[in-house]
Amino acid sequence: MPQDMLEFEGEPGASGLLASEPRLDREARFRAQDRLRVQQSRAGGRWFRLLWLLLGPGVLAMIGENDGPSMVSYATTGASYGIGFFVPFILLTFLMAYVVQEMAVRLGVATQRGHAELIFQRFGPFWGYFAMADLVVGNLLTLVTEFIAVQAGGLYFGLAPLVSVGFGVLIVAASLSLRRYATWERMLMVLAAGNLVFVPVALLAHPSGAALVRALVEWRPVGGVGMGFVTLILANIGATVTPWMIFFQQGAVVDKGMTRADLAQGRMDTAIGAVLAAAAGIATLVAAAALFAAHVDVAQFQSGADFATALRPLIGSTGATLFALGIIEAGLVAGMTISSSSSYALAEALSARHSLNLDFSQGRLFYGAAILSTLFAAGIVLIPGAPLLAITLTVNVIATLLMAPALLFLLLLVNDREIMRDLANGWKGNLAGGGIVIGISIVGAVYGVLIIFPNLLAGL
Amino acid sequence: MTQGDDALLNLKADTPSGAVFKAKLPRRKLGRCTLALLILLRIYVILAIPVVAYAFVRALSAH
Repeated sequence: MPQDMLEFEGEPGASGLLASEPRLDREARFRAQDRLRVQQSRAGGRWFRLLWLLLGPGVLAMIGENDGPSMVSYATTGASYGIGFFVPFILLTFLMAYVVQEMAVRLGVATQRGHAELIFQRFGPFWGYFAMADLVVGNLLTLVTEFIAVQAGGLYFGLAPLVSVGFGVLIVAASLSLRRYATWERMLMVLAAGNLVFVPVALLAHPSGAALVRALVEWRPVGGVGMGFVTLILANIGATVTPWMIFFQQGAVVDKGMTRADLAQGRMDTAIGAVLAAAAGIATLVAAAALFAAHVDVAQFQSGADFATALRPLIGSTGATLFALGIIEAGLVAGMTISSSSSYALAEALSARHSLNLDFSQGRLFYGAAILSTLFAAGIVLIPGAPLLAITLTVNVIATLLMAPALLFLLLLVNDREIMRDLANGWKGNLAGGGIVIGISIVGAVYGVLIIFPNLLAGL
Repeated sequence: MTQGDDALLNLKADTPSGAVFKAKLPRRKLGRCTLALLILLRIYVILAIPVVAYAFVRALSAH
């Protein structure tokens, strides 16, 4: 293939192809180029290259969910209970996340439509607007917590909130200015690799290998079951599966141009993402377990920066610095994936064009939604005296509560044989999916009851 | 038009922006059970909102 064709960066009409075929606009041309590379790799039997080309949506959804509040939640868990119960529990929650996200991949490749688009078309605007309201509210609030994480990480390095939050906004805006899905995705994957910075942090805490193996084999709570323990179980579930992940991954699968032929690679992408995200989550827990061993009280901690500061005398300044950098990275990656999830959903719901391959003039609504939501979230964080901790706690609750209806829509769609054909859910998928809906609904209800009656489990 | 361009144009039909994917899907008729589940979970979310608001106010007062 001529190299100049793949390097096309011009406007529609700038090449011989576009002059002779006006229907092939910039977005369609980029997507077609990506498909051509995939087909050539498949035809040539270059499987690693094929996987590399199709890697992205799953890894970004999973690592994106290892966001600021999630990492703080893992750290709180490790510092409060050590590794005993929660290492295998985190593995279980990511298995649950894989089950959910695999369905989103199947929906994307089978229908070539985004999640919001499918809900609106198959269930009508009444249910569509409910689903959108859930997503928009959840995403906006979660985005606020991502900038709280960026601000907290910045504070560790002595940066004023205006500087760190402004830097975060600039990074999100710069990623959107790429106007090319493939470049955006690769840039984000490089940034997302920073999530694994928690692995060396854990190693610097010198964890006991024997204790880790024992935790996996025995899997029992440390220190008894109380309200704090139950709350952290709920928080860790909420930190792994959220509605924005479904909208994002399905939208990205479609934007990437993945088809039914790419399903195996889509599943591998999701599985790799789950493994990497679980490794980072467990590493955060193991690193913070050093605080548990040192009997440090984390009840008054306000953010990830407090964990970094507390860890410094135990794991050294390198480990603490890496921890703070990891918190910033977690906030930034999630900020970009969550804002694009809002963009996909909003543009799909309003039947506007939706792709990261679009020019600004073609995708005003698409890019506008991401930029406005980012500015809104950053603005909230910068309000002097804003109750950032209260917002973070509330967002965790909302994310858990909104997941059940989102999962029901996902299950209904993935069982819709008219649109899914042979890729519709089997009984095993429905058993797993149904179990997750019921489990998350119960978890949400228990969480709500514990908020109203915090002393309900006192004495357990 | 080059041979590579032909390949791109052929691939266009396979991409989400191809005409086959632009047709709107027909509305699905919801069964009673499905509708009941959707309404039940909507009630669940609506009931949960005051709980979340309460938690937020309580967290604010603790702040």
